[in-house]
Amino acid sequence: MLTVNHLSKSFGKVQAVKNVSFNVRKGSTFAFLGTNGSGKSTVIHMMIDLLKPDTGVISIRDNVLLGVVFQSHRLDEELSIETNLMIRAKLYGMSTTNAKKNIKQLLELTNLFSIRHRLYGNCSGGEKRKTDIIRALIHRPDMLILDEPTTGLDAESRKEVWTLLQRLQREQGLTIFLTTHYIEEAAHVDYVVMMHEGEIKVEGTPDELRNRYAKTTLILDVNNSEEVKQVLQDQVYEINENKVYINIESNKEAIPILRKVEKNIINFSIKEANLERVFLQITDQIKNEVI
Amino acid sequence: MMTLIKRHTILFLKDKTSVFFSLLSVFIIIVLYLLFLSENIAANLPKFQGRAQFVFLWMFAGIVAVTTATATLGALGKYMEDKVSKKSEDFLITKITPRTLAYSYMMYTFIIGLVFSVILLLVGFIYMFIKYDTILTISLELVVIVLLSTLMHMMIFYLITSSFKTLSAFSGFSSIVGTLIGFLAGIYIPIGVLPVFLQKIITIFPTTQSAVLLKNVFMSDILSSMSKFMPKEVYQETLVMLGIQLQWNDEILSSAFSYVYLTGFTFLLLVFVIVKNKKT
Repeated sequence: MLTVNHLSKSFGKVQAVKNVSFNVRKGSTFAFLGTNGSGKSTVIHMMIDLLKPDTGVISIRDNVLLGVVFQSHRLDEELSIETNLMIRAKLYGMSTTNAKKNIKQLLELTNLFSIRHRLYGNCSGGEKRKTDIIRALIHRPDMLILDEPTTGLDAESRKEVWTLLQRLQREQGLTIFLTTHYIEEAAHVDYVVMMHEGEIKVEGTPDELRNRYAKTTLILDVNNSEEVKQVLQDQVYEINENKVYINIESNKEAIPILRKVEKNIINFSIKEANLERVFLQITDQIKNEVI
Repeated sequence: MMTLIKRHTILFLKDKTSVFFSLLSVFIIIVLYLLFLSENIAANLPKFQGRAQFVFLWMFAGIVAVTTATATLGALGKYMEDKVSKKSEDFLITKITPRTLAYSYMMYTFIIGLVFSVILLLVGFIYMFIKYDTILTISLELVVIVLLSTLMHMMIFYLITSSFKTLSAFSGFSSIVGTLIGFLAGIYIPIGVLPVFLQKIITIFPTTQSAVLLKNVFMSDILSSMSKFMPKEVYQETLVMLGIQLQWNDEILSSAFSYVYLTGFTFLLLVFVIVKNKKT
């Protein structure tokens, strides 16, 4: 649906985006991860034609409409939710009847219909974000681009936004492209690209990345490391003072190991393989390479 | 375009502070007039029937000219706010082009400037009727001057503010304009009492040309009766002293000159605006 090839962009001497390429499939959820300043928003600005790339090509299939949710709120605080949405609908060239119909449907879908006359400035963070999403959907786009959609929201509002996005994708077949620095939010997406300092460092499905870059680790607090070494002869492990680290494929694998070392451990914990660990592993690797 | 113009206008009018500050210079001139300006100006004039009316009309013309400037500048605050808060980006991802967006801000600014000037004209006309039992008429000449002056100031300030990157730069500029415009348009102090080089600067300043034309329109009746009883030299001196007629070296500048100046300057600005908006 959308293909980006060898995209680069510089601001003065700073190269914000370096030779970035990726492909977004129709109906998928695509997450762009990275720390602040990694170049995610610059890529989005080029995708929606607000910035011209220095080099590279962005190809969007014919007739594909894009809807955009910016990182910061862009609607007018002094106007009601409904007026804000009506203005945007008109700017897309929609007729009043069509605009009203679409707005009503989307307000009902997001449970905002009852507060449609409320000033946007008087809405909570979650209500504002949901309104931003409606604004992006008002012209019935095929692809929704969200730049850090949950930044600044409390846990409950974040959950609400995600539930809404998943519902939109499921019910309307919407393609979703999002950037986030809440790494775990990307755990349930279809494809992940991790950016660092303007470059794509790794990409793949969340499972692929977890398997490739982060293992689940069983951590044992032992009282006698020598005895543990004996017991774990056939196991690959790392030992650091009284702590033993064993990589396992799943939590279930920990049971036989724990049985073996039962008498020699004071405590144990399991550190799950998650995207956050993948991300930290990658950024650590990069730092070490630099050092 | 109409949706955007309507949106900008509603938001500007909802922001009472912006409305107040865009008319602040006008309020200051009115207060100064009530406190001492009217007496000061009157003291420089020979006694004649209708002197108070003369002074009011003189000041009123200046206020209208200043309003066409400060109201447009105040309205452009919305343009700056949208630019700084990146709301403009939200419009540009719709079917709106950067050029349409730019012209929407210009059209809205022009409308606000015009509406405020018309409101002020009506207030002045009512005051004249109540206080001096005189009915001022809306002539075609008056309409043309107000339209031209508003259009010119809108374009001057649009071109200047479009180069600003921050709201503080805009606020600083607005403060400077608000403070100086009364002097530069020759309202606080009659032009004739100033040194020659300052008189020349004021003459070049476009708001002065609007003020001069408005003075001639509002004061035509009273000036014609003054010319009948005043010695010719005294009458001419009074006109130059109060900036009702401008002088460049020994040359008296006619109303026709002011029209040509305003029209030419506005046309030049229009060319700049078109070129600038083509690049966006």
